[in-house]
Amino acid sequence: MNILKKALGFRDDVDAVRSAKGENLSTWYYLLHKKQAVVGIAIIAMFLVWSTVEGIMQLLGGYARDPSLGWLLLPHNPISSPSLTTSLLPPSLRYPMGTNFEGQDIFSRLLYAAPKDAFAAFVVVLSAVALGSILGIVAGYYGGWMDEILMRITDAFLAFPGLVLAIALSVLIGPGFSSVLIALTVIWWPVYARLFRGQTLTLKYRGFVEISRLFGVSEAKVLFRHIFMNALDPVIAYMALDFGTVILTYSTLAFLGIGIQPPYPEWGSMASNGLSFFPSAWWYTFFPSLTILLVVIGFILFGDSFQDVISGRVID
Amino acid sequence: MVELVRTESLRRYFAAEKLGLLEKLAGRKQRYIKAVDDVNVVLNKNETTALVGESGSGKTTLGRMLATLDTPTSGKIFYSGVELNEDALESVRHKVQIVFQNPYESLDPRMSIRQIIEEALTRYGGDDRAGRVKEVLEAVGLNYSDIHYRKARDLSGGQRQRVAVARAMAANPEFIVLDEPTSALDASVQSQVLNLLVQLKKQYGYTYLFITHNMMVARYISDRIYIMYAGKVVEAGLSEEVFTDPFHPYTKLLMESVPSLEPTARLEAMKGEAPSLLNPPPGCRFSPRCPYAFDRCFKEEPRLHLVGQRLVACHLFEDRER
Amino acid sequence: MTASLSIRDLTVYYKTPLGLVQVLDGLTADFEQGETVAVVGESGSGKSTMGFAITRLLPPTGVVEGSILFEGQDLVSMPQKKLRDVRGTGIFMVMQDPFSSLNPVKKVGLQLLEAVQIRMERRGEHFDYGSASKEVLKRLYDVKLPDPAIIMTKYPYQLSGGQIQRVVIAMGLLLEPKIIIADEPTSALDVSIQAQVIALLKELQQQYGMTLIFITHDLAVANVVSDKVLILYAGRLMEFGDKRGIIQKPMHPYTQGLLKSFPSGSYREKELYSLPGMPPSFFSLPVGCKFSDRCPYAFDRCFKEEPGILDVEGRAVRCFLYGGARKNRVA
Repeated sequence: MNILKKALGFRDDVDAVRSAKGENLSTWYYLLHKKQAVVGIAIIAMFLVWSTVEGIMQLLGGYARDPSLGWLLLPHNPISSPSLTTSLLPPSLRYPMGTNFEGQDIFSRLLYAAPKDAFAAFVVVLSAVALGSILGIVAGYYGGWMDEILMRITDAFLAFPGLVLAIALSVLIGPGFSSVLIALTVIWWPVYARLFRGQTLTLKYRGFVEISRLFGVSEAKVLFRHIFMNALDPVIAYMALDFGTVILTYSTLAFLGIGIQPPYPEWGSMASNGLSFFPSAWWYTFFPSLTILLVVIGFILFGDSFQDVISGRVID
Repeated sequence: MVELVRTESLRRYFAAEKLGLLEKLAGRKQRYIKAVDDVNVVLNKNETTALVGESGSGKTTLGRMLATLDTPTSGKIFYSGVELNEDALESVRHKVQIVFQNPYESLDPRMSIRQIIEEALTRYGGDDRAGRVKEVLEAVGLNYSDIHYRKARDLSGGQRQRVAVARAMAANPEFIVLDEPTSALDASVQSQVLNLLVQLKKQYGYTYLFITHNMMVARYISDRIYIMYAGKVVEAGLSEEVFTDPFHPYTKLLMESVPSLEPTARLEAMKGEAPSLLNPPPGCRFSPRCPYAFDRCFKEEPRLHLVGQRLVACHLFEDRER
Repeated sequence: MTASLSIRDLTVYYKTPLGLVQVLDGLTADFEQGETVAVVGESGSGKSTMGFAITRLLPPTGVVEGSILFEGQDLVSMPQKKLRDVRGTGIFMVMQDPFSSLNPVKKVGLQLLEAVQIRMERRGEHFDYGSASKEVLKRLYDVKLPDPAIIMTKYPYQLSGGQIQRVVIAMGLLLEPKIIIADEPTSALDVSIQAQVIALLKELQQQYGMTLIFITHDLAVANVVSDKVLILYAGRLMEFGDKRGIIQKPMHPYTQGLLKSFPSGSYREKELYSLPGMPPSFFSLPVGCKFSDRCPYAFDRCFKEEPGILDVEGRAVRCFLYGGARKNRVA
């Protein structure tokens, strides 16, 4: 434990008194001590590890032109041809979450679909941060009319109800996974633009930013190294929460029929399809919904704790 | 005595509120906070000039302009005789440095100490950067191997301030603006940092502009002193002379407000408060609080002029020999 | 003279995830009625903790041991309900940051009226809005605030630091406490305002006979404000006594060092004296005397045992140079 502490950079004496005085210790220290954060981290870890492994398998399958690699690790073939005999079976040892109308194992389908949710979450959030940070930092740092214009554009996007806009965009661009991702990114970046702009407004007057002008540091470097990197701290906490929100939104769109097309499974569309069979074949909508719920809660638990810790800390 | 920095009628006005289009059309006039108003200072090479004043005096704003971090609203700054305009700016910038008051705010919390110093060497070829980083850290009394990998938050206030000084030194400046460098430090650490600054100045021939509100520190460290009040210079001269024989009523009262360790020390409090910089009083800005104010003081602003070796802006001294 | 506040062996710990950290140790001092005592210490000396310990306003992680006798009652063992009655009219605290002493969403006048109300209720008097307002105006005038009637209608954010500090002092006066603890009340203020606030405190203290405990890091401020000085280092009382005596003839090496480091003269004449090293962290205090690692006179015993508080010619000193009393550890 002590080695772990040292590795994470704790300094006992300084930390002890600071903690006693109510200041915050290293982020990870607090997080690892908070029950809800630990639960959240556990859920996220399972989700991400599995998604990575399965995702790689699916990619390899694509390259090798052998899609069966994608379900090598799964109990059953998630996209097996429809079969009446195995249709709508309740949960059992063989089919832990039961089967769907087409007779496919729900558990395997959920596992198969996981990487896409993870991928969507990362791509959308990271793109939104990339786009939002550039616009927000430029607006905040230079001010003036550039700030005005950029902020009006941001406000315009924010004024639209996100989901409606996402649906409209997806329909416009056409069906498919990438169109959903693009649509989501478009509605996601304005919040980050605002966040980064706010941070930039405070940071640009800090001593170390001003003095870099005297050193002849290029503006781009100042914006990235000093402003962006320091603005990231509070934003990261928000990002953690956001991953969950993206998954939820993505699932909602899938539920509404936007995004991935059958026969490929998707959590949201599975939950939607299962509704028609509720409550007799309750497992069909129950387990996909539960999975979405659990994963999103995992991100919320982690993100929330992270935000608590970070917000106390930003002052230092 | 070689002149290094000189200002002519330097002004820095800040817009009080931003006027919208409609307001401008309605004829509403833009109001300004006159932070620095028509200031002339001269800083000599290898001297420490103290800039003393309270909050709102304009000393920090003036310091920032001299450090090229802020552009004047009007007036000129001359550096080594060359006027500081857009073109000259870059070439002057590498000769000027600044040390800020708050050691907690002036170092990037994400960078290691080594990186912080290295950043100062941006203009310099990579060759012996590591060597130079070590050199300046040791020059300020810090142990390179103990400290170079640490982050600012692991250091004490005194150590952080030393790092700030090392950073200022790294690129071999001529002129260093020190904005209240010891005000946030404990008494025992303050002495250490002041001694260090004196020693470095001797060793490397720096010129210092030392901004402070602490009279005792100003007296200790400076050769020359400028006293500022409400955006204007009210008195200037050799430190020892100004301290032992202050001319301007504000300077006098300021000295008397400073607590000392003398057994018979008593504080004389000035009455009233610093004036608004939006609407300064007509005439002399100190007149509402001045115990010696007479008729003329309320109508006409006194100009800064030479009385012997001293510069004073006060009607009481107007008849004296030039 | 009966002491209005008596502290005996005051010890404060903070509970941390890594164990107990002791911040104040064995503080013993008497504060006489009508006296001004300056508590002098650098950052990390525990001086603010002392102020909060006396008013029992420490965070939940703080543990207080020892005794604080105020008007014959021990504040350490007093339940929170009774302590609320003590705060304000018994002991009043002016905090370091002027803005944190007032409620930002209430007008200043309202807060001051509340103070009068509290005082009257505690004395069983009937609260009358009219006479209370008159009192508030008078006090605002006493603290030399211009246009008291207008000040009453303002919110704290509309006033400057110096004005707020004076409002807080006015509030203190309205509560008519026996003791005022002021934690660095002037550190955030300009020199000229500082002088005004100090002059004000002294004037009012003399007029109303309160005991004033003035916490500061500045010895010069201590010199002009106080009758007695208490030097705090690493959470321990190092020296306590009559101001003039301490400043003219300091006994404790730390006090001597502090006085010597005060800037005077010019750099051309001499280098400033500076105490070597830094104040220790509470988690790794030296064994023996806490000042031993920086003391120019430390000898063998200093590194092994911690000295107790000695009475030397009316001065309390914690130093083996003046005799052999060993500190009895309480915990």
